[in-house]
Amino acid sequence: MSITSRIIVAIAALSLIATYFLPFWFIHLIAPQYPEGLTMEIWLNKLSGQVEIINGLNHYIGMAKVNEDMFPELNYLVYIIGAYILLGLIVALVGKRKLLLAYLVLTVIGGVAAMVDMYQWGYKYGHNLDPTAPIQVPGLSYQPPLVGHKKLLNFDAYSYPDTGGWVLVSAVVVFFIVWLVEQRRARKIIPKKTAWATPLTILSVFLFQGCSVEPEKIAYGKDQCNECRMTIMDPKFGSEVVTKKGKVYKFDDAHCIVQFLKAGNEKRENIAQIVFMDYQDQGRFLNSNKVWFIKSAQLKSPMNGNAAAFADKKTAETQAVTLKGDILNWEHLYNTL
Amino acid sequence: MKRLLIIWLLCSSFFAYAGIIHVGTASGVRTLKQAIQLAKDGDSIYLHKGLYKEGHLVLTKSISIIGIDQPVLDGEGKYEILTVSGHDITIRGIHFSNAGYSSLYDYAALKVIDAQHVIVENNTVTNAYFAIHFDNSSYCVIRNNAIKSKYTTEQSSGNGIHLWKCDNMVVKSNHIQQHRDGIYFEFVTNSVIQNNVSELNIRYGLHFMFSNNDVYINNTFRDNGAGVAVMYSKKVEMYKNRYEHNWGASAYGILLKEISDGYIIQNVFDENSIAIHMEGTNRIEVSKNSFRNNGWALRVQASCNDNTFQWNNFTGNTFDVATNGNSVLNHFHHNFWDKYEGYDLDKDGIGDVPYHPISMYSMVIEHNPIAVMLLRSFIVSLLDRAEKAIPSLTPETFLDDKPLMKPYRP
Repeated sequence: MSITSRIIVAIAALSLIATYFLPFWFIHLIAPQYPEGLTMEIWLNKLSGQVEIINGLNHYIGMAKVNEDMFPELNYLVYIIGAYILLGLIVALVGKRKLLLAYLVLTVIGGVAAMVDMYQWGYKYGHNLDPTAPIQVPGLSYQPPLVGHKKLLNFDAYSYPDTGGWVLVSAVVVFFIVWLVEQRRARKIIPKKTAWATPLTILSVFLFQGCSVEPEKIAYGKDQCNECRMTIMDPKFGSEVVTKKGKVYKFDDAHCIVQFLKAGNEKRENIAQIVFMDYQDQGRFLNSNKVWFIKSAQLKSPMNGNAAAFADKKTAETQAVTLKGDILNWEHLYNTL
Repeated sequence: MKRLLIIWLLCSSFFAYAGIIHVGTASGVRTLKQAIQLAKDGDSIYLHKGLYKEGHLVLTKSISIIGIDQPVLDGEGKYEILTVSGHDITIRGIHFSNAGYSSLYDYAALKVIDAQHVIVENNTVTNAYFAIHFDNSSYCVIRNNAIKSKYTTEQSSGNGIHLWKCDNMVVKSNHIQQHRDGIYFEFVTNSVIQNNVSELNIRYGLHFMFSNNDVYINNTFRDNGAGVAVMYSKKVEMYKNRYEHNWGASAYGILLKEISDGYIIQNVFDENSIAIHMEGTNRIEVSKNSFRNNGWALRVQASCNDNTFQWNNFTGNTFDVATNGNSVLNHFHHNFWDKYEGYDLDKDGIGDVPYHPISMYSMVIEHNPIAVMLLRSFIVSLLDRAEKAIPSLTPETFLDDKPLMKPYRP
């Protein structure tokens, strides 16, 4: 293998160290009585999140209590990952392509084994119910989804890899790409330069497909502004705050979104994105980090924020002349409203 | 003699010669545009019956335009029909039809900008985006107009009577329907809204923002999307209005937000999802109102302080009062509650035990809206009874210590 490939393999192997400090899987439950949702994170060596509340809920339907002592895996997972890191470094040092393939197969086997293990736990939990439980629904099991979404009674259960899990997945993807590149080079099908092309496109597809929380369409005449409680009517000034958990707050005016953020009921670190309706194309949201505002008394927005969002500075500048307004970026607007 | 001369001089200045220009098929002047060009300050234009398609007209002279037998000015769906600016102008008895729509400009059937002493009365406005729109004007009267739009999408309908940055205005005896907001006030001070009927509007019957020292009396707000919104205003007085049948998931009789030092007196709230919803409301007197057959009569959020509720009648409401807070700094006394089960041994017309208007169940619903499913179930009434006997969850200080035995009658 080339020296670059070997360095990449080493870095990817070392990146697995991050999984020690990050949760690698999470289970999230949403129900009308828990609009914010309940989350349980699974780490290599512990559980965290609202485990107690989930346990409290589970006892009604007769599920066993979840605690760390029940999972022997939590004691030795740390060493397994350690072994993988070591192996990865060995592969990088030796630099044999065949060895990399073996390593790749081994990681995939490890991943599958982990999934099987999780499925078994889930099955056991969902099916072994206490026969004396207060709520009994004949024939219903409560097995959480392995990956994805499932409806259990009034709960929406989501189960996805958490940050650590994604680190693991990306490491495997990197190993795979390196192996693919080396394979193609070895066969001399294509010159060195383009050897990376296909794998990189595959990688970029993977990356951009990442789990993103999207803004929602505003239902004009039905949705209420989260801050001033008015029914949202004017498509020119709509905006939204989207949290990392996918909750969407809608607003009818820049003034309201700023008031909402200043009140601080939703922590800054939980906010995934802040978007504004494009003043000129009212079917399109613009992200707050690349939007220009015109603030002008002539705009007469619903709550007197009088700020309109534009996609690029040039358009904003020409419009600002007709509207006799000032041009601001989001930060500046936030501080003036 | 000198005195007579002075009187004659005065009179002659009063009865200064005012010309009349007739517009119609029978007269020399065929278009209103021509008439406006010919007119001098103080003249009147009599617009006779007929259909006039004249695009966009602008009027800046102090004249009266008076319609005879409802002549129609048609904007053909393209133009703002009449833009007025100046002082001492009257627009009477004209039917404005099909004003234009634009997503960027607030086109109106009749727009008045930077004007004083304008009277707009007895007109009909149909199919307008904005019907009557006043900007930056004062001492104007909007009276006896019939305004009706047709249902289009929310975005393509403007407000019926829209006032922005005005002062000393009177909006009286108008009938507005099927607009976005029936009557809209923003930055309007020292004004009166009286005897209007605002119904079937997509959003609010009356929308009131940043407007201080105003009074609205004797209006009816019926079947609007979300009732009436009064927000960010001081010293607003609301007397003898009717709020009827504003039903829906987020529909109110009145939505009060950030309001202080006002009065809500002798109003009738009939069949609204929430008769009064209060947020950030301070020092309001709510008295002598009737709350009948509403889902919630009052929803007082924790951010409301120092409001007084007295001499009101609560009958047939699912919930009399709901709140999401505990420390309640509002005063309730001398109200009639149909759910009150106390007694009056000393026969002074006032119950001898205080009434707790907040039921435990309403507290539960504040936290878990879905629990409304259990409404009127046996277990819920049981819980409420238990709670009444031994209050534990409901705010203890939230009570009417002088509940009336019989409904209040003025």
